[in-house]
Amino acid sequence: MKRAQRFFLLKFFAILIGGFLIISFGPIERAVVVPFTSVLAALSGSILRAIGEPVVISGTRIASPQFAVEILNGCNGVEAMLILVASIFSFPASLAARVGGVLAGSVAIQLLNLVRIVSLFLLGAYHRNIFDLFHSAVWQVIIILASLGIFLFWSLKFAKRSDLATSA
Amino acid sequence: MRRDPIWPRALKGLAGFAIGFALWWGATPQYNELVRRGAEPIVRLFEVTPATTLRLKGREVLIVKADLPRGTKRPGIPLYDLTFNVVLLMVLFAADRATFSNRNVVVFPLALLLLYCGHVFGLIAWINHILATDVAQGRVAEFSAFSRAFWYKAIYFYRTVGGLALAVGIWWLLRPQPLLGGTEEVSTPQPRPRRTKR
Repeated sequence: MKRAQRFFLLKFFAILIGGFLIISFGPIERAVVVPFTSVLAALSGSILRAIGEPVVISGTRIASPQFAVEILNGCNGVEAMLILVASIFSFPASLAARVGGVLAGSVAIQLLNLVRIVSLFLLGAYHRNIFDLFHSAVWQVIIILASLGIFLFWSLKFAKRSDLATSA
Repeated sequence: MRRDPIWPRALKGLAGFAIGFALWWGATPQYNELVRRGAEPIVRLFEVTPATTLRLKGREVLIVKADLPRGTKRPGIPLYDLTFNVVLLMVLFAADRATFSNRNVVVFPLALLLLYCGHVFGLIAWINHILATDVAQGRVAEFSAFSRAFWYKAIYFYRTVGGLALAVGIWWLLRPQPLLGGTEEVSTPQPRPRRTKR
């Protein structure tokens, strides 16, 4: 394994763990992550209402007469955003390219995450028997693959080839 | 430099997803037994008086404490929640340019072994988190504030982002083509230089 590869992996996990410790720190979680998740719940609720579901939103909770979900960490897309941030910031590129990649990638991930929340709510309301499977496995894998795909696409566009040539 | 077309690899990834998903769901009970066997001795190793055994019940692992009266609540851990990252690993390896290349075939079992170690660690972290916080299990006093916080953060990290990142990290570590370089280059054979006689 080349030195640049090793360094990339080390930086990736260091940023990932550091980022996780920051967002899971109580005051930050309460001040940033929970309000962010509430916005996601409100947006998902609006979509569900638009397609005829009689849902009520309360903070991070979406409820209807048939089903209710509480959006927690792990389902708010923050984990995929964290993997994206760690990947992009471990990769040699200009600061502008990194910031642009993180912003555009995060928006894409959250759009996909809205689809996840809405579809999971509908599965919970109408196909309860497969809800757990989709909640625990299918959507988690899809979201992380999306994050990885965004990173690979970004790295094709913005890799600093001169840096790589010297560091690899 | 020539770039691979994306669709064949996306299809291979999709096939990997379907196969990985079927294997993961179908083999969960047997695989859970392997993870249980890996985790139980380590959990007992850290106990003042080893009394914890792990028992499988369906797709869950139950924490059974021999030193507690019968009828005490036995917390269950949904192990599939820790092991589904194997599906992600399958997708990543399946989507490789040469899925069945010698290198991919040799390296994949090693990747599974590393992932298994991650699953054992995840189970140990979850058990210790329960033992450190659930008063009914009678072991809360054995954990310091630091170790309580450590096990909580460890399982929280694993379940939200660490488990998935582990699969990605293992793939990056072992994949045949280097990640850095931005593209996966397909080398085109170069003509051999001719030997010229002097």
